[in-house]
Amino acid sequence: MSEMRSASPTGDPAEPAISRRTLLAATAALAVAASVGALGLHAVGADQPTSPELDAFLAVSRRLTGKEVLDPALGARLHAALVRAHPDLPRAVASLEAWLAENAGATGPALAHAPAAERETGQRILRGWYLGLVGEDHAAECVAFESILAYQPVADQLVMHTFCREAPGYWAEPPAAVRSATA
Amino acid sequence: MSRQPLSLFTPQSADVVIVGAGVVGALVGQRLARAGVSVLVLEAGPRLELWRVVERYRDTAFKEDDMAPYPPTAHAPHPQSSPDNDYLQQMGPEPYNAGYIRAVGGTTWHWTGQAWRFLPNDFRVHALYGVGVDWPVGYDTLEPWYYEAEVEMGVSGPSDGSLGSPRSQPYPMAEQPLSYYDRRIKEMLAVDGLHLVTEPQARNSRPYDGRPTCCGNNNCSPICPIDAQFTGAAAVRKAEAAGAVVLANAVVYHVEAGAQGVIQAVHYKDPYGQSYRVTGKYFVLAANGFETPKLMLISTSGRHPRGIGNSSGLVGCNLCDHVGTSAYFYGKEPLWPGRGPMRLSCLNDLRDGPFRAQHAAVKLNFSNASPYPLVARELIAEGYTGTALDRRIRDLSSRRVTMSSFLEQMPVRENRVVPSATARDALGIPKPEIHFAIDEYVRRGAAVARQYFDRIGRLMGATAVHHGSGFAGNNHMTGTLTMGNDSATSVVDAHTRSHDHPNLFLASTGVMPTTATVNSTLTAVALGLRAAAQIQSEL
Repeated sequence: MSEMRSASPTGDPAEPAISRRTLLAATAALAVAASVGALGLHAVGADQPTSPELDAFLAVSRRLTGKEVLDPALGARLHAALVRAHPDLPRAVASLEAWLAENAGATGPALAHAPAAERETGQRILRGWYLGLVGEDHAAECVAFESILAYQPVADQLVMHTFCREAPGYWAEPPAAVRSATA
Repeated sequence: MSRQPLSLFTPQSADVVIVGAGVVGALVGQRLARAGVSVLVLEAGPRLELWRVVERYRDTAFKEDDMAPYPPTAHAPHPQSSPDNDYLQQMGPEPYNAGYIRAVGGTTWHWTGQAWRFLPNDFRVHALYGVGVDWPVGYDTLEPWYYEAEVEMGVSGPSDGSLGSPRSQPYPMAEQPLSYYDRRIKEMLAVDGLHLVTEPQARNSRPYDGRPTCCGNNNCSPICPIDAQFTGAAAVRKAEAAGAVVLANAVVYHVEAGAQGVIQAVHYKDPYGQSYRVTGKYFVLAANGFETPKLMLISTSGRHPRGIGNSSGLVGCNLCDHVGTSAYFYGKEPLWPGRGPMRLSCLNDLRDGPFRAQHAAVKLNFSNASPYPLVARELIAEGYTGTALDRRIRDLSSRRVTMSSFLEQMPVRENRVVPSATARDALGIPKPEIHFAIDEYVRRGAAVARQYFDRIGRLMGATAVHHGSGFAGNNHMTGTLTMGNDSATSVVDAHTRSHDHPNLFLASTGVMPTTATVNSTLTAVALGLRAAAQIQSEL
């Protein structure tokens, strides 16, 4: 009896197999998590596709994120997804770049002072890099998980959701940031 | 017209036929199978694989939607909100957005493992406070069954009496250590006389029952990636190991009664719409607090024009949940929530007392879910960029304190689930239609919870407390199959046997007459195990 199988095939749609990207990204994230102080930046590949639009997108992304080095593979994926969701992205990127250049000294929530169109473009791009999300509401698409930038500022204190890197019960001890602040 | 199942390997009959392979149905099945009883469990939904659910979670754009990694099937749909699949027919006045899972393993695929016992007074709220109804069983009757449920589910918890529910034996596992965050909150609240307790949870604090120790992946819901948290899927594995047969994708749509009300068979459809008939000596309906009453109400016949087990007219009525509110603030100290399980502690001071005559009792929970994605989203919306954004993410993530309340809703007949007269799923089975209102008793409880949110914020040095708007459901659907001694005012008796059908038992949170303040799974399992023992004694 215990060998009995379901009398009928499952009604589930066909499932994609686990992707190489996911495996590679997970492996990279684990490796990064294991190295103290690392910030999860992937190695810059030499064989990434490029185009003037992508270059402009990466340039404005560096300015928005304040990071000199961004994962070019994620950048290309993010750019493609953003262009799909917002076909006028190249033009919007150019005007955002111009606004950012003029307001380079802005402090605090810099985009809060930008005109609506530039603010929206900047927030869309940041949402992609920081949360891995493109598109609004139910059309939203996930383009990244392990490599989202939102994780970097807390990577030395918190595990990434679904991952594990310390012994059971480690959470009872004060976190390293608290220990070093009180030492 | 139903056929007999075609496959030689598909049983047409069993001593006990269970409808629903969630945590309760599976553990009922395990107990009976261990005793040598032949058990067939029919589950409407498909089998799921843990790794696939984890990947779906990582890939979804809707990480805050616990249903997102569990897409519904066409043949056994369940509620989906991203996007809304129009499964639950909301009749208002308040929406009731239940998020249950129709799959082998059921809804505890995405719980947080809180495995609470009721307080002794929770069973007697009418006698003590003049509200709600009293249970036909008391705490002392249920105590040994609570313990058996804790052993089967693998519950870790404090055995020091701090929870208020007396124990004959310690928890099977030592309590989970509080995180630094929870411990500091406990210390700061104690200064003002408030008592934080460690929640009992079906999450391993040591290797247990073939599953590993929790290592703090901080993803208990929607999916524990390492199986350290007990789920209905683990319960199904145990049931199958004991000899129970679990048939997935078998959508039961009719319960057939014969003379003297004896249940003869259940009829199910496969995903292609072909019908099959399965007979048994005893039947257990364990398809949760929504789908079970729906099934009973659509099982009409000449003898039972109002459906199976519904002579009282109360099947589907008295729907209660823990109506929830929430709040967060940024405390003075960096406490770094997000280390360890997603929830470890709650305030134990508002769960019982004479105030229950006036307002809902409250369990006030502290979330230990890692907040950085939420914090980042809010900061981006505020316009932060670059190093200021990163600095703020780190600072606010370290200081965010997130709370929620469970408010005890009392049973009201008009709050109910019925089969829709017009909306049907792909197999032609009516969708559930929900009628739901939140009364002043709950709203007064919410006002008290709000005062406590503010008080806790002050104690922890917050400059502002951000209160969530509206009410949230918590998927603890109780009351819809209510238990009692009087067949005119209840659906099942004290053993959860139908008043109308001698060989029909209901095993679900739906049988709970009231919902108290604590998560309902452990109580439903305890009642189910007690029912299983009763069935066993009669076979």
